[in-house]
This record gives sequence, structure tokens and C-alpha cells, in this order.
Amino acid sequence: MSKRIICRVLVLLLGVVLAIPAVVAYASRNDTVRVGLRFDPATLNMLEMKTGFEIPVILTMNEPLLGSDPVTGDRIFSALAESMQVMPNKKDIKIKIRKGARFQTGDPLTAADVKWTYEQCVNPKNANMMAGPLDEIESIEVLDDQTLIFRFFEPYAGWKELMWIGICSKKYYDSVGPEKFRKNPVGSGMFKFVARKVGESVTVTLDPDYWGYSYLKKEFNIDKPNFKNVQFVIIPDDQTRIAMLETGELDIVSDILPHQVKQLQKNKRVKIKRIDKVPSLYGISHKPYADPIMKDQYFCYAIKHAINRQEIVDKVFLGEGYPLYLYASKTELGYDPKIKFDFNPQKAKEYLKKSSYKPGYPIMLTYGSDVPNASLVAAAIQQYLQNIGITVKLRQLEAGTMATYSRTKDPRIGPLLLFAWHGGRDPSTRLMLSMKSNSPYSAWPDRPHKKEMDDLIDAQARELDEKKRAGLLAKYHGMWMENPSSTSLFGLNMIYATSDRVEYNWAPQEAFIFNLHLVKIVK
Amino acid sequence: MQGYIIKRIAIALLIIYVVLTVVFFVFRMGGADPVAIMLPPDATPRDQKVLTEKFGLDKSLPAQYWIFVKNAVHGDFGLSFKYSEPALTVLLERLPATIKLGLTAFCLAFCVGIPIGIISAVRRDSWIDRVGRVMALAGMSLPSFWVGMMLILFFGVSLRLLPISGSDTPLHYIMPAFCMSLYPIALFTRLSRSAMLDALKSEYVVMARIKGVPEVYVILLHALRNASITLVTVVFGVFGALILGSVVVETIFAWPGIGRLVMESYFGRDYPVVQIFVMFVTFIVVVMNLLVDIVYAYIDPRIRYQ
Repeated sequence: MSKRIICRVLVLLLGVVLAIPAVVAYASRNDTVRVGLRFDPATLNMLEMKTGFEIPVILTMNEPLLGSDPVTGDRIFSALAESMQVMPNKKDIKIKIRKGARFQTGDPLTAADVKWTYEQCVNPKNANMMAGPLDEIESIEVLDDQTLIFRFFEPYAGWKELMWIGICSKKYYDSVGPEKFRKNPVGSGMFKFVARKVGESVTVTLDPDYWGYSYLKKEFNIDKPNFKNVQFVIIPDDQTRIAMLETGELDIVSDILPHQVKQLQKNKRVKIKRIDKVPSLYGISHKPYADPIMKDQYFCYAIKHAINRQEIVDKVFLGEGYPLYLYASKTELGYDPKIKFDFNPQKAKEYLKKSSYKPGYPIMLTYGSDVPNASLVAAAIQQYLQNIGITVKLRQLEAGTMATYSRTKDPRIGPLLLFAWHGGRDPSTRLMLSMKSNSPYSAWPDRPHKKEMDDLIDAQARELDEKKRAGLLAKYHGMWMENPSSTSLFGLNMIYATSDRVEYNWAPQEAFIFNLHLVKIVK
Repeated sequence: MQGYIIKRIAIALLIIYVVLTVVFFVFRMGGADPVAIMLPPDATPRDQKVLTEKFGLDKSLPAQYWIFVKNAVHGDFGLSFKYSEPALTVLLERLPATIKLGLTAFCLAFCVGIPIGIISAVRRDSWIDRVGRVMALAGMSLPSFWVGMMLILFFGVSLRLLPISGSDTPLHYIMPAFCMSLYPIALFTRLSRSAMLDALKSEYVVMARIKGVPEVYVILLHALRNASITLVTVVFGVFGALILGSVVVETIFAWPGIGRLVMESYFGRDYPVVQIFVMFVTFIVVVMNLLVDIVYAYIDPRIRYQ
């Protein structure tokens, strides 16, 4: 055999060796839905959850008491809870767990597991991000295996926002210990944990023995998913995530920036979708502790009327958003579309004239590296404010430093801070933490009408009647607008895209990917 | 030689200790609080307090330092703030991916860069020399983030020949390894070319040719051996750098290595992970320098260490 033939055979063999793993990987992808995530989850342990980025992964495995309606986004019963009843004293919530609910280990899920999970979430050693909000709960009483009562200190309007915690198995925790529990999480959800490659992916697989299929079919006409696995793939770079969607290496990608839409539209194998009913809020936070000028209501009005919000949305975000005037995102109870600060430079100049601002006095506008297109938005605001006579200096801060300054009320943060926050559904936690005069993050503890405003915050938190509560919030917002402590700018649509082999719709009112069991493989 | 190596190891330990101490204090005095970064905006002061205590950040700086030194002596470098696992475990989980990619990139750079440099020197001003020089210039000038994106768009999106991210199959290594090796290829090409040009002009090479030694032996045994003294320092340096990972390449190709880990840990102020990474870097640099010294003695018999 000549050398040439040997060489050709060797090259062919090498090709086959290289191709086999790729073919195997491709074949296994057919029954797997691959979801691109920007951040690696810090933990898969519900009890130790630190940030919101872990929620989409954890909640596929750990079923909560309340889920999210796929059409409206309202809180609805998951398969787990059979009923929830507010007791006559308005402080207690009686919950009935569905009979037959069980964990992936086969052990029954009981009321004691629910109580234990909530107790672990407030256990200081777990440092769970929900520990604070759960402080509203005074105690949890187990009546029997299926029934328990959450007892609140006082009536708490936002109680439904405490019911999305994924339930964990006490028995499993006790038998394997915290280390194994952390590495091999077990829940009662439709998906079971398979593997985690740190920094690379998390894979979960459909549990064929999931106990809730029949219930979901009966109540919501939801079929068993037609795929086997969900793989969450960690891709930190935005452009790479988009490229992987284009090649079919990913099936679902969220948080697509408007300027990337054009690139994706060229690809017929990608479906781009958008939804505006998601929490999203961009604004400028006023920091009176950094500069007393921010207490001047006329100065604040001048800022509010000087900025053309629609123009920023159109030019920087290519129209993928809407102006916001209230410190409440579109999904938050109390959001009022009627409230508006029109773009009126003349009016803004008149307010500025009435204010104590001296022309030429520099105002620092700080923005962080974690806000999309922050430098463009900050430059636009600088221009708008300079047009009415306010001198604005821009400064970019690294996200970590900015978060620290903000949390510690460090005056170095400057009087104006550009921020992005996805907000939520219920305003209570936000108002209690940042708006009450004695709250830890209040930027303006000695604000005018503080007593009345504090009372309104408390009253709305205790009011279980939604209509009455909305009225209290409207009253509060009216008082807030007299002396605004922030300038809301706009909210953005959630742009997400899927490959043409899957069908998926974003769960309204959610900031993260939810309801992955509703994904359908169509190709 | 043994005494020299023991002395170098002792110095290395001292260097690691000093570097760690500097990093410990500089990082903590930087102003950003890991707890503030980690918690969501609506976290309560209680959440903040609990997490601060859990991380041991409620203690004074000297107390934190004392605990750190005491535990480090026992091989405990603390728990990662983000992953709630030992920082060493977190690093070791990511290390194989980086080493595999680094080794691939190094082999590519070594096997391509040095032969091209040698051929360029031997065939000076030929077309192969010109191509080699242009490639070297391009490799040094093109930023890896741009090359990475272009590779993704061309081979991944347009041609669909190669997977964009992941580390499961050999195909996954092609683009990131090429991207990572571009600069070392250029560096090796230029260095080996200039070192070989110097060596080929030297009297012992002329003498060998006069004696009638075959050209292959002249190049490989006489010229290359002497030229390699110049190359050794750079080759080991590049090897060290490649197995420490690349933040840019690992981010673009979503490679789960330590380059990306350390960047995320830095921005999240995950002190224990950054500290262990710094220790690892110092260790690798010290080891590489030690290896360079040992290899010098092997290549050049005139060098003796006492």
C-alpha cells in the first residue's frame, strides 16, 4: 500500500473519530430544549437561593404552592395546592395540599414539608434572599398531612408573592445531608435534576412518574411535554447567545436587545417575539443625601419635564418600550397609565427658574455598567437637561461599586443615579424598604408629608381588598408626585426568540423564563 | 542543583504569601461589598446582615486576615460566596476545562509557530517567509474578541461547520483553541525566525557546513539547539499564560474555565475564589520560571546553578 493511501485512510479515520461525538451530541439534542442563560446559577438549592437568576432553573424541579397563569400571568394554583383560604381574621391563610403529591424520591409531600421549607428559607444559616419578605409570617401551623395555616403578624396584602417558593423534602435532606442536597436537588416538580456542569450547563429531565400530570390535564388542559430534557446553557456573551440561536444550538433566548433584532430577523429559522406585560423600569433615582438640591421639588419637576422619554425609547431602544412616569412598572399593582409628565422644555425652564438651582452648578449623573445602553441613555439625559440650563456631568461606575454605594447611602454615588430594575407585581416590599421614612434604603427620610405617606404605605400593605388597595396606592402616588424622589423614564418590552423547532410563549408578569413545561417541540 | 531548587521553592512560598496578603487587603479595601452585589435590590437589611455574618465580613479586617491565614495553613481557603462551596473545589472544577483548552492552544501554537519561524529563517525572503511574516503580524495585531466573533459568524453561523459553544466534542475545541493560539503562534514565529537567523549566521554553523554535515542536522542540531535558549523563556511563559485561561476567549465561546470564573468572581467580589486564583497564578509563574532555569541548564552546558 502506498504512503498516499495510508495517509488518506488515516485522515478519514480522524474525521470519523472527530465526527462521532458531534453526531451523538446532535442526536441527543432532538429531545432536549436548550435555554440560553446569561448567568450561572449560584445554587440549585431552593433553601439557599441568593438571586433571581436561579429561579427559572430551581422552579422546574421544585414546585411552588402558587404558579403563574400562562395567559394572564396571575398567581394561580400549581398542581400542589388544592385550595387557599383567607381566614376571617384576615391574618391567617389556610392551605390544603393535594392528596397524592409526592417528591421525585417517591416520598409523599406533606404540609410538614411546606412548613419545613419555609422555616429553612428564613434560617439565617441559609442566607436565602426571601428571608426578609418572609418575616411577615409569624408562624406556620400544620393541622394534618394535607392542611396548614400560615399565620401573619398582621393582614398582609402581598401574601401571594410569598407562595412561589419551591417546596423541598425534609426527609431527603435529613437522609443525605446538606452537601448532597445542594448537589442533587430533589423537588416535586415535573422535571428531575440530571447534571450540572458548573459554568456550562444544568440539565433536568422530565419525570415520567410526576404525580400531577392528570391534574394539569383536567384543570388546565396541559399535556405532558413532548420532549425529554431541558438544558440550561450558560452563555455570558450576548452576541454568542444570539449566534447559537441562529445555528440551532439554543432553542430559547431571552433579554434580546433591540439592535440585535434586525440580525435575527434575517434568519428564517428564528421566531422573534415580544411582550410588554413584564416587569421593567428604567429611571433616575434622586439622592438628596448626596446633594440637598434634590429636595427642591421645582428642580425635580424641571428634570421630569425636560426629558423626552419617547425619543429615548425610539432612538436608543428602537421603539421597543414605552415611557413611564411613575415609580411602578407596568405589572405592579398601582401602576397608573394616566399619570404623565409631558415633555415640555418651556415648562421645565420655568420650574428651574423657581428652583434654588444656580446656573453652572454641576450635577453628577451616575450610571452603572449593568444597565443596557446606559451610556447612550445617560448622554441623552445630559443633553436634555443641558437644554434647559442644568449642567450635568456623567460618570460610569462599576456595577459592584454602584450597588455598594447605593445600599450604604454613600454620598459618592452622586445626586442622580440611572438605574434599571425589573420590579415586580406587588408594591409592598419596595415601598416598605425604600419609601417609608424610617426604611433602610430611604434616600429621603425627612421628606414632606412623611407621616401621611408612611401611614398610606402601611395601610395598603394591610388592605386585602384589591380595589381599596388600589385607591390607597393612588393616593400615595399622588402625594409622592408632589415631592418626587425619582424620575421614571421608561419600561422595555421583553424581546425573546425561539428556534423554529419549538413553540414557547413568555409567561406575562414574569421577569424570568417560566413555565418551561409548556414548551412544545414542533419540528 | 537540589539546593538551588529547594531555595527557589522556599522563595516561591514567600512570594505566594506576600501576593496573597496584598490581594487580601487591596481587594477588601476596594470599596465594593459582596453582599450588596449579591442581594437583589429588594432584599431587606436582615438579609444583608445574615449574609454579611455568613461570609465573616462583619469582623474587623485584621480578624478576617488572621482567620484567612490560619485556615489557609490547613489548606482551607474559605467558601465561595457565590457557590457556597470551598473556593478550591470551585477552582478545581473549572481547571480541567481551562487546562485542556490551554494545552490544545499551546500545542497548536508550538507545532505551527516554531516550524514556520524555522522555515522562514532557513528560506529567508522566500514566499513562505513572506507569508509567515504577514501571518505573524496579523496574529499579533488582531484582538482575540474580534477574531472570536468572526470565527463564530463565519464557521458557526454562516457555514454551520463548527459548534459555537460547549466542550463536549473535539470539534468544540477548534475555534476557541485557534482564537487563543493566534497570538502565541505569531510570537513563536517571530522569535524562532529571528533566533534562527542569528544562529544560522554564527561561526559554528558555518563550520558545520564546511565539515559537510547534512543541512537537516545543521539546522536541527546546531542552529536550533542554540536558538532554543532564546525561545525557552517565552515558550514556558506562554504555556503558563495559556493554562491560566483567557477571560475573552472563555467568555465569547462560553468555555467553562477559570478565566471566566475569575472575572465573574472579581465582579461579584467573591474574595475566596479570587484569592485562590491569585495563589494559583503565582504558583504557575514560579513553577514556570523554575522550569525555565532547569531547562537552561540542560540545553546550555555552560550554565551551572549553585
